[in-house]
Amino acid sequence: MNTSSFRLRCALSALGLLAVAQGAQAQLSIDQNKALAGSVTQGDSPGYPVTLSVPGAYKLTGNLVVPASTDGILIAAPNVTLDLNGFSIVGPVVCTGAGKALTCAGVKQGSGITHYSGMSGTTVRNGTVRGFGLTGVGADTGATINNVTATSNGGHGFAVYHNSTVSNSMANDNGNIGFLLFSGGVITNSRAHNNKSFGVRVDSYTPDGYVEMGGEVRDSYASRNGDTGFISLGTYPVSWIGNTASKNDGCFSGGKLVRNNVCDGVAK
Amino acid sequence: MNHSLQNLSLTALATIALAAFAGSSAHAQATIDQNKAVNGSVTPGDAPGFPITLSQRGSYKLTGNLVVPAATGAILVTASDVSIDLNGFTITGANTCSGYGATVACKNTGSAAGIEAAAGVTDVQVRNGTVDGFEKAGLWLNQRSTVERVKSRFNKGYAIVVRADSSVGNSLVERNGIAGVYSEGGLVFDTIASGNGSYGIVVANPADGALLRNNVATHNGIHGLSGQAIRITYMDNQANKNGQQNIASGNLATSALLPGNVCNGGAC
Repeated sequence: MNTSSFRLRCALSALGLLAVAQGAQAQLSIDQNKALAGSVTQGDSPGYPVTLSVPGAYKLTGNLVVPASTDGILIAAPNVTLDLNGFSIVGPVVCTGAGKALTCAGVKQGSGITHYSGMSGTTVRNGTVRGFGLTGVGADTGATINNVTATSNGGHGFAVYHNSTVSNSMANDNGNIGFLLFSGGVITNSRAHNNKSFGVRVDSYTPDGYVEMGGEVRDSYASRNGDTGFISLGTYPVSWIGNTASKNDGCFSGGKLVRNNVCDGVAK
Repeated sequence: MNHSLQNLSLTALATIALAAFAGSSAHAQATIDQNKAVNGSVTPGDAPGFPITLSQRGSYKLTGNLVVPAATGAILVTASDVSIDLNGFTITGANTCSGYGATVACKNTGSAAGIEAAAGVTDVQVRNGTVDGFEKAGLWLNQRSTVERVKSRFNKGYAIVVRADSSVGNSLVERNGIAGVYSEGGLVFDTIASGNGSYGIVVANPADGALLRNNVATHNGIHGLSGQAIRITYMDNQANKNGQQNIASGNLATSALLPGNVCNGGAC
């Protein structure tokens, strides 16, 4: 092999390595140091919130500890997938007490995960969001939430817009509603415990009232919430299938009791 | 391009590629294997040998099997909000059990658990692997725990113990001395409990009930599903050939045995 050929091969090899490496880095990692440094994506300022302005996949590689009155993650692009990877996003708010008497100490500002309007298609999975003044996890339309715990937030545990799916998740000890789907969607295999207001609320209309959406809540469990365990408002009823409500201030309200729903030990 | 510039370009490309590789491999999720267990310092305060102490909130992943001496626990969790991904690996203790169901006999004595949450430690999640052969239990967890896709067998006491507001799903608990799953409330679903000495799945002492759904309990020494508490929903379970009752509820008046349950091929 002559020198020119060798150098050309070296160059191609290096470019190949670079391409592979870039592929491996397509899922961007986020940890506390990167959050504080900023530039996780274009326009992300140092500190919180971490702004995700580019569609794609992101993964926590450590816990995020967020100051009071501040959002943790700001979704500023459509189709963002955020894998919490077993880690937690933690704010300073602590909620204590039972049901209606639950109180949250701390400033009523800041959400764990929030979004700009129109940023649809967010996916959040595999972790915990704890201790924010407002909502734990907020997402726009078409969101997918899987295996996420929202706990001890001053507002709702989860608040998502229409055509969203929530599964295998838990909302407990939040200062307002455990799971709030503003306009339809699906909740499966999830549980809401000891939230100050409703355990699960899935409405069947958009906030502006122009589009009525259906939905389904299935195989889920609500207990010790300060208000009704499962509630739905709107014209096209949400279907309740296989849910159990126990020791809430009311079991089911609105929606259609399809089958296998139980209120305090009594089939509905 | 002159030769020196060409060489510089090649060097720069290779450096960039290598740096990209190094960056992609960086990962703050703590990994656990046998060597790390023996060496200690997995988290602050973790002494060499077993049990591995997890004293910090976060995400941990096994990268190899763990083999644990007799009468010793594998992992002791002393901080809440800990997620453990067994990553397909197995934690093996020294206990063995022979027989099946009522004839199960286990060998060792002691009070060690495979993975144990210390008193007051909540919100622990364990997924994706096997924990076999411990004295007290495979998993011994507290409130708001999540257990998914775990196999646990040959434990002298229990396979999986969880307290209130917990979820156990998609798991296999087999040939344990006392019971497969012991829950104090929450969800137990899509789990097979077979050949345990006394109970397949038992729910006791919950503050607010439980939803048992889509489980299979067979050949357990006493009862398949045993509800020793109020407000338990039994939905779409199958229980066959258990020693005394397939589904036994101490408080049927306040629980719901829904029509979809099947016992020995017929109605329960």
